[in-house]
Amino acid sequence: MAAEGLVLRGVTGGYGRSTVLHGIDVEVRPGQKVAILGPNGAGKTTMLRAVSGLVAVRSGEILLGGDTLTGLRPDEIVARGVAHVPQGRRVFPDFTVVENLRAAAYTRGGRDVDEDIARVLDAFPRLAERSGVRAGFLSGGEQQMLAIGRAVVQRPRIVMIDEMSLGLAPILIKELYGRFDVLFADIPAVIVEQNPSVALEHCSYVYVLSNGEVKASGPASEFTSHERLMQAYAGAVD
Amino acid sequence: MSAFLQAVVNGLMTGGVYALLALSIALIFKTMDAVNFATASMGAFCAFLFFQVGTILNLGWAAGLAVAVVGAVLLGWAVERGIVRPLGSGDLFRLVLATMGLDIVLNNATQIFFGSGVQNINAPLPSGGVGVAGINIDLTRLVILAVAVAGAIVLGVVLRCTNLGVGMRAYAQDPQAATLMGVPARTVSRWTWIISSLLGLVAAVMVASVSVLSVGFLQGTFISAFTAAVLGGLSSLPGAVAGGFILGVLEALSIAYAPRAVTIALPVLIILVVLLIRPAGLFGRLSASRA
Repeated sequence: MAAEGLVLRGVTGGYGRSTVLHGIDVEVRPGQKVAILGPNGAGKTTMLRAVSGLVAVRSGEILLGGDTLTGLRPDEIVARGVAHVPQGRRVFPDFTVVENLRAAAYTRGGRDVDEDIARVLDAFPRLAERSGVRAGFLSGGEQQMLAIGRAVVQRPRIVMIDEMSLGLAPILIKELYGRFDVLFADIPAVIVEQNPSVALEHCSYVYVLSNGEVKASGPASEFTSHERLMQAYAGAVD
Repeated sequence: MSAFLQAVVNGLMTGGVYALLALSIALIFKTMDAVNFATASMGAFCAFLFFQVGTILNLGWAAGLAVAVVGAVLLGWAVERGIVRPLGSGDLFRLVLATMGLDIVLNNATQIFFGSGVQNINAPLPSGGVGVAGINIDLTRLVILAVAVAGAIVLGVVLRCTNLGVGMRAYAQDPQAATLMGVPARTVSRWTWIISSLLGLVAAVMVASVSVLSVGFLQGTFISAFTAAVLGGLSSLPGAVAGGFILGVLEALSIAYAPRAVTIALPVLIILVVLLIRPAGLFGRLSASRA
């Protein structure tokens, strides 16, 4: 059992009366980058939201470093070291770049943040140039950099990122993934992607979700063939 | 000309109180998306604590202030804990209705505790006036203006420079994203109501100092402050301050130059005009990313 990793065991949950996740088992080992792939509506985002406490877990449990996260409030889960970069970036539009980064240090009282901010601006020169600009005026790519930067400032024990590549140009996607790998080199990551080829390049392990179930899982190398991935999407293999 | 300047100066001095109470309204609206129609009765109740404990019980102003501040904090906390949180998010209309109910309850509670009489306040403020360039400046009102400006500045500093303030501003922009930064929703909600209640206390004490203390004495000011908040865009704090001063000046000018009926109808007229011509208010702007 991974002492520092993230473990989802038989997680069932959803919104209101509808169940989206039907007994999900996922494990992220220390230092491991795990891709969650699957078609639209597979439950990938819901899975991340369940970990973050934004979606109620009806049965099963979620553990981080052996401690349970199930039933905690979202802010308590963040305080335990889970950084969640949500779909659509969700930067604070009226805050400047630097204010957004400062807000990410809330759980430690907003202190000791200068070094982290410098690290983020160093990794993303584009953000450094626009550090005083309100985030609502940034481009989609810049907002994604900022969203990743907030996760850096949070100093997480695990980072989860939802659809990093959505709506961005291929060259930008490549750059973002490269920076992400460097910034979170030693930290386990859960990477939700609709774009399998990008995710497979940067992850060592893959789970394929469909209809709220894990249809397939294994080392990323096993999924590089297009055929195998399509089979997994269709739920034909396990 | 001097009559005009006199009206402007008078208006700015009244406007300070409008601005303060408008901040109380806008702060709640910004975070909860709902108007607190109990703003006036909450502030009035705390003003009664201030004056009654201080003067009637002969304990002095400091004791009155201490009791009123504690009372305002407890009242804000109790309203959040007892009404706002159990109602939950979702249907905001329920919260608005609940604050209307609270308004009735608090007005009656004030009457039960403090009686229904009208009391003249002998406020510990300087009186008299000074003439500057032919304009008479009332010292009491000048102090009130200073207190209002100081209150707005303190609020600004709290929201900009404290961790809680940054969390509250983040929450107002995107509650879920703020939650993912570790900002606890209930902490934001609790402190929003407590701070709003304190602003109401200060505004109520200022108003009572130049009028009288009686059940419902703050209702008229509330209408003006609500108008000021709408004028400023309802969720904009700088807008609420500007709206307060603009309304104060417009009111004073209408007193000087227009029939009395216009003065009375002015807040409602302004709300109507703002909603028709510029629903986002003078200072309300559409958020760049949410467009």
